Parts: sequence; structure tokens; C-alpha cells
Amino acid sequence: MTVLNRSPKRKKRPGALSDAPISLVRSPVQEGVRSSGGGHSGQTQKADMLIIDYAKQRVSSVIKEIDRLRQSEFPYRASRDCLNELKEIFNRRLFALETAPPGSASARNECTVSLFNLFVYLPILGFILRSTNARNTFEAYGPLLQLGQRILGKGNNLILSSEWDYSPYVYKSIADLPAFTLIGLPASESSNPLLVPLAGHELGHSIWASERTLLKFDEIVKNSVLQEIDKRWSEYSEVYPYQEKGDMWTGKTAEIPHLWAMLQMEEIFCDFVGLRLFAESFLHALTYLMSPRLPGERSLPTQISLIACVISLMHLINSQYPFHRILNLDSWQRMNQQSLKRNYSFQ
Amino acid sequence: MAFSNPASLGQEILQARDPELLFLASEAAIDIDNLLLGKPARLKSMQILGSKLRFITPHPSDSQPRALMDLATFSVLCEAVAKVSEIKTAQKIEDLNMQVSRIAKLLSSEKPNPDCQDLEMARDFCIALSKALMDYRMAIRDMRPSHPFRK
Repeated sequence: MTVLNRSPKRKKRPGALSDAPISLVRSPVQEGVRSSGGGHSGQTQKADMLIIDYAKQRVSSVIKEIDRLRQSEFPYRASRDCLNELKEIFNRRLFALETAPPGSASARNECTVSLFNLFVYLPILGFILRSTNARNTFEAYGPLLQLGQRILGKGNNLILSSEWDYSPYVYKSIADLPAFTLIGLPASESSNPLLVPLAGHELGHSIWASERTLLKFDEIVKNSVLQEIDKRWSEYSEVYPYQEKGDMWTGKTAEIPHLWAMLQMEEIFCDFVGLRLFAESFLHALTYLMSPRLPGERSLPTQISLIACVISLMHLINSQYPFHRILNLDSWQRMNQQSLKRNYSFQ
Repeated sequence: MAFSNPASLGQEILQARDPELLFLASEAAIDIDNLLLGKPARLKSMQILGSKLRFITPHPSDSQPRALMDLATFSVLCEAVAKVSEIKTAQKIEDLNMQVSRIAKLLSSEKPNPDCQDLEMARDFCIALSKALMDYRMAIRDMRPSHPFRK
């Protein structure tokens, strides 16, 4: 069951205060803050109190759960440190809920923020718990930690977990936990040494974030998208007829293609980090993990088209090196010629 | 409490991707509501948020913007500004900068006047900003393909 269903285009119920723009419909709750609560019925007050109580209970439950998790035996210190940081985050939310004036718009908003936090951080608690599982590749932990600390600094902590998700992943850009890199690797492959080079790609995400690589390219990509809109203005204005050149809304519609481009760039960057750290073994790991490929087109590049991209670039750098023969990737490259041509043009 | 250090704010670039921004916006709204009710308010979140906003919006006397604003942050600010009645007419980037700069000044004030009508507008802006930030982060989350059989 999907608990939080985000549907931005859903129809608003008439008089639905929580959905209405806050400026256009002033709720009795908001009025209650300025005035002495005139027009604020007893029932609404009761409902508001209930919402805050529920929010406090939810946050308290997580804090208790964190305390219980802290009693577990952890194979390395980073997991316990991360739990302490998470507890601080939820304590801060509880404090905000306790200081928010009951019945106020900000109290209601804080209830939403604390709820949102549960969706963001509860999976991380699960991840930390699973990092204690005996199924984990603890042998790989030490070398990967050393590697991460050499690149990201001594203060960087690594948490490694066997996950029930086939695609390796990293929890990146957790600004509240900047000193932690959380890497999940597929449980079914826990005895496979090729998992280690794959972690190189995931480390790349942390490097991308810590080096603020995004900021180096953001302006270039933003300008390219806006230039393209400008170039094809007549086409654009058919889709957005009410916008004029220089409108702030033009920048807003450019956000989605901009985001796609940045995400693609990050994935490519991470593949190069993996390649830089683990050389050929990284390519072997990708080959093992994803060959031949999943069907269909996606807005994000598939690993295979990334491989094709990496190989093409390597070929340009050193055309003598027989990557194709070693990795038997010629057939893949043929398969992905089209997407390669469309997405990347190095020559 | 894991607050940013206000002293280093001038060096920080405001980004929609920064979860701290969501917390600050929500806590600043709480601070303002407490101020409006004459209750003790800490003002710390207000001031930090104000400084962050001031850093990205050009001052009327500046000929150049102070810092680059990435598109995601720009998009989120547009959303927040559009939801506040007093400033929803903003159409041009200059209007947006002017309005955000006005709110930033209010938020960073050392002694905000609780009788000032603009404080309510600033509170509404903070709430709208936190909602827009949550919406933005959910949109990114939704880009991740879900399991084919998960409902």
C-alpha cells in the first residue's frame, strides 16, 4: 500500500484548507494566531491538537526505536555514530513540535515536516540495522573505508550493508549526515568480489557531493537549456502560451530538463570514478551486473549506455588498448549505438 | 541541536537540495507565530534563513547578483513566492529577487516588530517555502523507478 501518494495535479476539494494556497484562503487556524481565536471552532481546535499529538507520538516512537537500535551489536563504530546523529535530527523535530503554538499555521506545517522526515529517515534506520547482519561482506569494509577516507578525508565514515535491492546504491547528499557514506550492495552477490569495484561508482556519488561538482556544471547546463528554449521559442510558446520571454516561469519549466541533465552527468562522473579507482575490474563488474540490458528507454542513462560512453572515451584516450576484446563488449556497443549517438557525441 | 553556524552563513550557497533549508523554513515560521502571539521566540532559525536568502538575492544597490542560484532553488523560490498573496503578482525575475530580498531583510532583523503586518507575510512565505521544498524532494524521490509489483 502506498501511504504517501504524491499527485500534484489532483483536483482540490472545495474548501480544502490544507490544499489551498495559504495566501488565498486564510484558515481559521492562521487567523487564530493574529486574533484571539475568533471563528476558531472547538472542533477545529480539537482536530488541530490531535494532529500535533499524533505528530509528537510518531516522532517519539522513532526516537525510542533509535534507542532500541543503539543496543544492537555493531561490527563498526560508524553505524552507532550515525544513529546518534539521526536521534539529534528527530529530537530537533520534537522540539519544534513542542514549541509551535498549538492551532497555528506553523504548527500544522511542522506536523507535515516531521511526517516527511519519517519517510526520509526511516529507511536509513533500516539500512543501519541491516549493516549489522552477518550476511554482509565485512572483509570488504576495511579496504573500502580506507579508500573512502583517502578520497573524502579522514572524517568520512562508511556504512556498508547487504540490501535486498539488486541495483547497488548509495544514500547521497544527506546534508544532515555529511560525514557518512551509506552504500548498499545486493545481498545475493555478497560473496562476489566484483561488488568491491561497484562500490567505486557509489563512492563517486559522495565525491560529487563533497566536491560540490554540481556547482561547476550547473550554470553551463542551465544556460544551455535556457538557450535551447530561446532558440525554439515559437515551439515552446505553443506548449506554454501564457509565458513571455524573461518570465520567471520560463526558468521554472527549464528545471526538469536541467535536473535530468545534471543526474545524467552525475552518473557518468561516478562511472569514471569507478573506472579511475578500479580500472578494468570496474568494467568487468558492470558487465557482470547488467548484461545484456533491461528493455525500454529511460530518462536516466542505463548502465550499458554508460559503459558504451566510457569505452568510447577510453578508446579515444588510448586506442591501442583492447577494451573491446578483453570485455567482449562489441556486441553491446552495437546494440547501443543509437543511444550513444543520441546522448554522447565525443567526436 | 544541529544548527548551521550563523557565522559561516555568508559562505554558504542556498540550495533546494539542502535538507537544512526545509527545517529552517519550518522553524522560522514557528518563531514568527510565537512572536505574533507575544511568546518567547528564539529567532535563530529566522536569522539563519534570512542570511541565506540575503546571500542569493541581489541588494537593490548591487549591479550584479551576489551568488548564483541554481535552477532547483530558483524553482522552489518561485513556488513559494507565488503562494503568498501579497507577492503573488511577481512575474519577472527582478520582482522575485525584490520580494525575496524584502522577506530576507525582515527575517534577519535583530528585533523584529511583532506588530508589523509584513511578519505574517514572512511567516506565510516560510510555510510556503517548506512545502515547496518537500514537494521538490518528493519529485526527485518519485523519479526513482519503483519495484514493478510494489503498490
